[in-house]
Amino acid sequence: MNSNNDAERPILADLVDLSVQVEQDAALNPPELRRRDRPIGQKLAHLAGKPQGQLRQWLREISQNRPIQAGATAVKTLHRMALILVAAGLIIGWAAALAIFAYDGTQPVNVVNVLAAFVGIQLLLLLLTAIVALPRNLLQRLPGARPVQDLLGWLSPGRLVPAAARYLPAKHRLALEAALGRHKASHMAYGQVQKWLILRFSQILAIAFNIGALAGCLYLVTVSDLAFGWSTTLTVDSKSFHSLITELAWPWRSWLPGAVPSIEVIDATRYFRFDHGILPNAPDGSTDVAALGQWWPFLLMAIACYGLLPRLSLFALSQWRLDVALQTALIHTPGALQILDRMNRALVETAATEPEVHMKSGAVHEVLFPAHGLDRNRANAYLINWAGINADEAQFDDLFKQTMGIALERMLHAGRMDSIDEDERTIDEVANAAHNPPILVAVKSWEPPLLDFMDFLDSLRTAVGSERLITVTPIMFDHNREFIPADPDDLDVWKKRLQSLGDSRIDFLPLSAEAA
Amino acid sequence: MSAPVFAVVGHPNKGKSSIVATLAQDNSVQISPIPGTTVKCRHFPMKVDGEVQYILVDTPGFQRARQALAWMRARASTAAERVNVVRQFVEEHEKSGRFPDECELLKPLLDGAGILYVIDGSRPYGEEYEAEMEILRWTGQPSIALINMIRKDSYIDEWTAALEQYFKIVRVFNAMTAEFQKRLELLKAFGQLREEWQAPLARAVATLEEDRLARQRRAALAIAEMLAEMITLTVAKRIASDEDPSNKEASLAQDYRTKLRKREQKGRRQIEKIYDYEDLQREEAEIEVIEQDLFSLESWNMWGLKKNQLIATGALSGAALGSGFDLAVGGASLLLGAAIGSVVGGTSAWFSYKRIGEVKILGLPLGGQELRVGPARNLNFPYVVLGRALYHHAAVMHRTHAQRDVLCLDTTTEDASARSIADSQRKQLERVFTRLRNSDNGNYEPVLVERLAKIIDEITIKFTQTMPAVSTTAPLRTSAATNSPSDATETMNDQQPPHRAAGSQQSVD
Repeated sequence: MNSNNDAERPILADLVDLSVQVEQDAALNPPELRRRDRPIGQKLAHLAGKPQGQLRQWLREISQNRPIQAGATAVKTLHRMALILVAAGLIIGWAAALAIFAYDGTQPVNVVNVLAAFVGIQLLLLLLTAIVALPRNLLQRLPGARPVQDLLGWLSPGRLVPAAARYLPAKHRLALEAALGRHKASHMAYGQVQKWLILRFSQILAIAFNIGALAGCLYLVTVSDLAFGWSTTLTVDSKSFHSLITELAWPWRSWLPGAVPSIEVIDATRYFRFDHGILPNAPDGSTDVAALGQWWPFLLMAIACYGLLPRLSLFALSQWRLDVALQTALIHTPGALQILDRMNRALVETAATEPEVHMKSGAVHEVLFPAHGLDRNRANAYLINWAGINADEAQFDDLFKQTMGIALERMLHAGRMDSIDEDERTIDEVANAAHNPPILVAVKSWEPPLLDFMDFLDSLRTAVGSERLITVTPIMFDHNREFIPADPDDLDVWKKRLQSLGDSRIDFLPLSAEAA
Repeated sequence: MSAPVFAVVGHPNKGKSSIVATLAQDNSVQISPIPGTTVKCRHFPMKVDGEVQYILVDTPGFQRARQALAWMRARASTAAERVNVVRQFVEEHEKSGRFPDECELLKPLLDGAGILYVIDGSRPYGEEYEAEMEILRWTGQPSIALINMIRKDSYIDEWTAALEQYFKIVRVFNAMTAEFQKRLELLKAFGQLREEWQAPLARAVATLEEDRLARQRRAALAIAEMLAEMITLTVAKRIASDEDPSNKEASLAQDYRTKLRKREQKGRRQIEKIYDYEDLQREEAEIEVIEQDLFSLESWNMWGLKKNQLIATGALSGAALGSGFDLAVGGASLLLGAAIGSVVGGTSAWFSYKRIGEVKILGLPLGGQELRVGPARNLNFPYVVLGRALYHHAAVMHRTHAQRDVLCLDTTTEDASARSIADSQRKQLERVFTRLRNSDNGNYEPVLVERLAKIIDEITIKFTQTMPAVSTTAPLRTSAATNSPSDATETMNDQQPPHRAAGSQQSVD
């Protein structure tokens, strides 16, 4: 899509494409959208403060990879519709002219008839169109005006367009429906677009009708010899009819006096039903026969001034209002404000750039703990206090007596600050104890089992042999340094970690609630 | 100049990842009670239009700090050699694989990252921490210690005493409950670590504040759109002229309700996405179950306006109609229209208390009839929807990305419902609501949504400030009930501020 085409692209096409794009974007995540739209916004910084311009240019940028066809199709469809309406208008106008200007030599063409059909009815329709065109909030204040507008809107020939759309091929129908905002009916902005689009179509039909009528009239004037006369049941004399005609000719009488019938012509062309085609007032002889044909410039000017011109100006008005409605609809399309926000706001990102690396969860060989095989009758257990639990030997002795019924013979330390050597001395002492004392390891339940501890356990196991039972007991304190049961979540962490060692001679023995 | 980098380091399971998740607003951070969940450093750059302002680095925890320190001590005889020894340690053990976690966490520090050392202040201090604090000191990087409060117990004093010996700045920061402003204060504190970091962090803080306001506006617009669509929602069904419409009424009303609920759920997800809570969708079913149903009567009483407010509101919308009457007669009625409108409106508000939308039967031009429900005529309906949406929005705003439990919206108080909306704002709202209610066939002017969004934005600012600290979290596991983060908040409010030593220690939370 090159930039020359962009400038000429109708707003309507952009509006349709915008709503299609918003629908497509609904499937994407907001952060993704922000990352996509913010750079476009920065590129279009020169359009700041011109939301419509930003949105339309945004569409160009977005659709570079995959152009949306819906807008172009909708515009094409509407063009075709307009062409059909033009053709219909021309034919109807031509046919109407032929019918109304029909002259078979028996009775002259009745000027009153022509004026009623091409001026009277047209002015009435024009008035109704004007009512439809009035803004709704103005009508709200006029009691009863809204139903009238609804009814007239319903009768507007422009309505034929959406109705005719039903018979279009699916592609064109969908594009047209998108253009008319069918699926976004809840938005008044689309309502305005729809209203002015329909009114514009009505004007196209009317203009074509008038051109058809003028052309038909001219054709008949050219190829046949028309005799005009005027006739009415009402009691109107030539004088007042002349003043009526002169008033009607007001727009052109000053610069085109030839197109204003004179009183003589009016007088000469009056006829009555029973005259059978004879103009009783016509002077004898052929000199004034030409007067019978003198009506046509007036009639042509009347159709042009009261039929064509108002329709042309209404067309210009509806085109202007349609443009305004389209511009408004563009920024009020659902999702448009969000697009502008994404373009004009700094993109702030705080999330990680790389995905989380998950823990290696290799095959963990879980073993069941031995059913607390601690020999409770032994009174000479060795306790290893891991990482400096702040309790003395007597406190621990009480605790283990109460909870497990075993007395401590010795408390050793490991895992303390600056004490890698101390760890080794503790391991040596436990391994070398001649009476094979039960081994208890007290750990802080609230601290997770670190590799430092697992290394220690591994060294201890190597030193004492694979058959000796090692019992790990997580400890928990309250604020007063009294032992309390550990948090079940913490215990769970310890339990799983110890099980993962796959050592069946390691026991896990938390303090029971009653004991604590 | 390269952007400041901060490595969040510490013991395993002390909330490093929670702090990173909260500061980086990233739900993808794995937070697990299993130690060693983080095995590789993860970078969280804060970018504004692609330009990096600062980088947070989540690191694995120390696993063999004592052994590592022993290795280093054996090789450094003077303080000047320490940094090089740490570097040597990393180079040597990256190959050996003996200290994978220590190597991984020390690398960013050796590259110049500032240290954010995290400990859990709800658990007692222990001497095993000293080895890692000593190693951190050896890296020579500027550092700040963060006391994270994971549970309700507090050992802040003993921790503070220990930490102050190793760190210049010590702060208490609760990753679970830290509100937006507290997060910003913490970022500002990071800037104090090095002079050249001050400006980029101040810039980052300003941008985050702006971004927050922008998100709030986006949320207000999303709520306004939802509200407008819910008020104007209409469902219709054509039936033959000889068919009894009462047979279809129930199914049509059901259809209407389903559509309303769906729209509300969609609105919730939109708000969550605005605040980067993508994963909250996982808990969507829970939200639906736990949340008060839009159609339950308690919900009406809790979220909407009180009867007297409702009557005043009804009078207001009636008056709006009345003034239309005045305009039509050119003001000749001397505001009589407004007076009549008030009486009529006030009475109808009273009667429509329990009715959302009524089923109407309309004649169709081509014969047959149309059964229609909507738009919602009940005066309280928009306030109920708005009250719920505001509460949800405030709860999402208050939430941190470290919280991984169910967002529970079943409690509210007077302060956190539509009742707390100021009279003047209610009047503005009612003007928009009246026009929405009177729009034909759901065809409303988009400018109404923009007007509504503006009012909601103003209300939101007040609402999020005054929202009481009610629990918006429901623990997933019953065992954790006693230690729920909301309990922690209360404790934090009750506890004494930690002891200040030499002006170095400041409390954030």
